[in-house]
Amino acid sequence: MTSETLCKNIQSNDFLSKAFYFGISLNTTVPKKQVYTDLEIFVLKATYSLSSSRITEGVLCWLKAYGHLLSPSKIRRLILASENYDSAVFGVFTDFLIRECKNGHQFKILLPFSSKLKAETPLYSSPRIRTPNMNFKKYNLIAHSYKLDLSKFLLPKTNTYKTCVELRNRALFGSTVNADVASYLSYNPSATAYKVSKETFHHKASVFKVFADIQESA
Amino acid sequence: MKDNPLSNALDALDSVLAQQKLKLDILICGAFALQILGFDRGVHTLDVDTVMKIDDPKVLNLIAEIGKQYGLSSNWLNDQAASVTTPEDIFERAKKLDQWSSINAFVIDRVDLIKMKTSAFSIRREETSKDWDDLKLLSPTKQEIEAAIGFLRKFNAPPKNASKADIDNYKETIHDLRNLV
Repeated sequence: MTSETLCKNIQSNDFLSKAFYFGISLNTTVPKKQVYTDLEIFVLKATYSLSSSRITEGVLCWLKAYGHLLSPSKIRRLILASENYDSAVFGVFTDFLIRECKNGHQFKILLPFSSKLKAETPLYSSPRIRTPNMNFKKYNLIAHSYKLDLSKFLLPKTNTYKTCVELRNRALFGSTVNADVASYLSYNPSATAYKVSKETFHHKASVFKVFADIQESA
Repeated sequence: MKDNPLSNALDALDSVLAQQKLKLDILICGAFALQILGFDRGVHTLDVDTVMKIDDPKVLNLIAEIGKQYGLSSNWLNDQAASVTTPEDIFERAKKLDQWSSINAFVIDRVDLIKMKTSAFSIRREETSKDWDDLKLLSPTKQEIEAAIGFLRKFNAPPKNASKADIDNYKETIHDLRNLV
């Protein structure tokens, strides 16, 4: 195995491990990490991790079920701060979130960060697809017309909310900042406001405003 | 297969079936069969497909209960594959799995799995590449893929009055399958 292949496998296992942690029903051999895992970073990472139709269908099902808990403005901030992502797949995700989520119109602010590939390109290797998925084709990506079977591709929501503090806090709190600060502190109770701001990718001022209350209430 | 959530759930199901003096017959097919057969490098969903019907409500309730305990879906062990056409004498070639006492479990023979995956590929190739991905993992020989094409011809060939498009699609599927080896 070349170091490049090994590196790709480790990256892919790490992504699958996070996908499983966030409630996507895919096998993983990597144990769950007991560290804060950022939801928006996960979504951006997903744009370049769709290496098979199972992973793609799992991620789309997840966006359909949990997309309303994502923060469009935080995603925009991460992109502007040069976080890696695939702009064509990102276009597919953004359209999908606009179409499928409660308050989907909020994701329209992300449309300028998507782009169409110059030529038609298969999303992953497979025999020719005769009737490609139109949502992907819009960005010159050739992919299957997935059935999006949520019961097959997602772990039960009640279980996911029980085991995944990042999603649970997003569901419980009205504010993304409060949710992420509380999630980060649950793994690192003695972290400083500055450290939390850095690791959760929120403005220092926003974190400092809520930090003391959350730390004391926890 | 150690520390696999599905194996752990099957172990737990076996225990509760034994406590309640219930029995369950399963013939495992699908992606979990690939894992059991040692082709465990692929990505798959966390469920177990069996081609044998599960219709005892008590057993179905226990499956759902174990799913809840292990964070799996309520139909993590399901008989959705019971309605698909299977190769003849599939049970004679299936391998018995000994690790459970109340679950009488078999795993599909590799060549039969190639036939079933070939058939699934021809049916849902526009929706997913999972059957193709699994076929690649199974690495069929030329002889095995020809046997699978024979199975496809017998059960999934388009009717004589099918449209030209359907016939072309069928021919392309056979062409793709032959290119796999």
